[in-house]
Amino acid sequence: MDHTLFKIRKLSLRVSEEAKSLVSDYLLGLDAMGVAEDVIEGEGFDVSAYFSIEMDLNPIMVSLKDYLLFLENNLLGFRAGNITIEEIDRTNWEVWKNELKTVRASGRIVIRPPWEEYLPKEGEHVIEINPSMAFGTGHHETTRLCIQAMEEIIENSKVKNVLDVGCGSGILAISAVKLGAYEAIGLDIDPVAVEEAKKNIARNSVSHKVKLLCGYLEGVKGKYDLIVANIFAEAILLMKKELYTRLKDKGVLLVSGIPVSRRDELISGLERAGFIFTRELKEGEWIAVVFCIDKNSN
Amino acid sequence: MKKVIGEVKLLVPAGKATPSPPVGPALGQKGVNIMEFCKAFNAQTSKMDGIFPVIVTVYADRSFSFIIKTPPVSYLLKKASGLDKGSVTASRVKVGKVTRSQVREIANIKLPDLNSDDIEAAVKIVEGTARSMGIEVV
Repeated sequence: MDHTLFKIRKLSLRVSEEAKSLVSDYLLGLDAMGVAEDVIEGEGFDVSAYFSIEMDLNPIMVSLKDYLLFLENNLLGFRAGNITIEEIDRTNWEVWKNELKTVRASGRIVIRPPWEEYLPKEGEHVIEINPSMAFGTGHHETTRLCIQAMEEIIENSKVKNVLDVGCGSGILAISAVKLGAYEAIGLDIDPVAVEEAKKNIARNSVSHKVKLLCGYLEGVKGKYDLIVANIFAEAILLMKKELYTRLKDKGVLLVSGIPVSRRDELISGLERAGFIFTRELKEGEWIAVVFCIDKNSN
Repeated sequence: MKKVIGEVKLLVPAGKATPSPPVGPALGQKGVNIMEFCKAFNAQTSKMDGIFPVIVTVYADRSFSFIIKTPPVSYLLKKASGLDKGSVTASRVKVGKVTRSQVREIANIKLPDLNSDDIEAAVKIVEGTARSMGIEVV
């Protein structure tokens, strides 16, 4: 896979408070992918701009120095330190991962990061997910809501195959087969997610049951007993026709990534496409909604 | 009041935040749960169109809040002068032009973000930014 996806350049300089917004704004307009302002107690602010590894930073440096000179002449009390540039890779910024602990997603599914241990009780399945640049670590409400809903759906009806649209880390596809589905397909438009999902599937020894596809729903063949899509309202509504086509008669659609405020809009949109609302699950500000279809009644 | 440990500004396409750069490096380094941010940002902006600066405030307990802002002056200047991505160069080489009324228009847009109601001061900032970017004010 393309290693440049994992490398990035960071340009930093320390500035006084009155200039921090102006400097970070300026860098953002010079095609920085993102800019951070860090409070440095008693010394001002560190402004760091992140640039793509392919970008030539020389013209940016010239332009930035010129701008700093302008600020020095026009902004009272302005100070700026030296500009440094460093190449960083993803391991430098995955601090957030360290905070992640083992989490119970449903009655039977427990998710743990690779560095934690968990001894499963009877009937429990432990899924190991390495938090990465792909969505789905088990720590978001919407992921847990989907796993809880899947547990019930798979227990109460015959689910042979599952399609996970926007699979991210593969967490839902893996959970589906652990909960008893015969096979699952994980689909994502992001090649980084598919790569990570592949590793997670191998980690959980379900490579023979979970297949992955990189691309759009239009490219998927076959029909499914259960389709799960934990994305966001617009994406789901945009795909409603394809979702309907890919679902078997009497099949179940489970959607999430929906804040409570978007509930009515989502339900009426999917109902117009022929889906029948079954139930909803809620945690915090988020919901997951279950629909089914009955092709004879349409 | 929760203690603020930093602010992160990101230019992110509405409804399309992912854990890849810039979100990952900028927020992950501060210990923010990147997925949580992406989900919240996408849910709030999925109805909007285009790229927006978002300011994420990070607190000492790793929680965060965010607001969507007006585009940066440098971004507005490039758009006004018809410059493409990456064509910014040294001030000695003029790469584009903007009119005085365009400068004033940008100053007006940015006024709320500059914590000022002095339009002349805002115009001066916009002009200075243009000069550094090699954009001539005519």
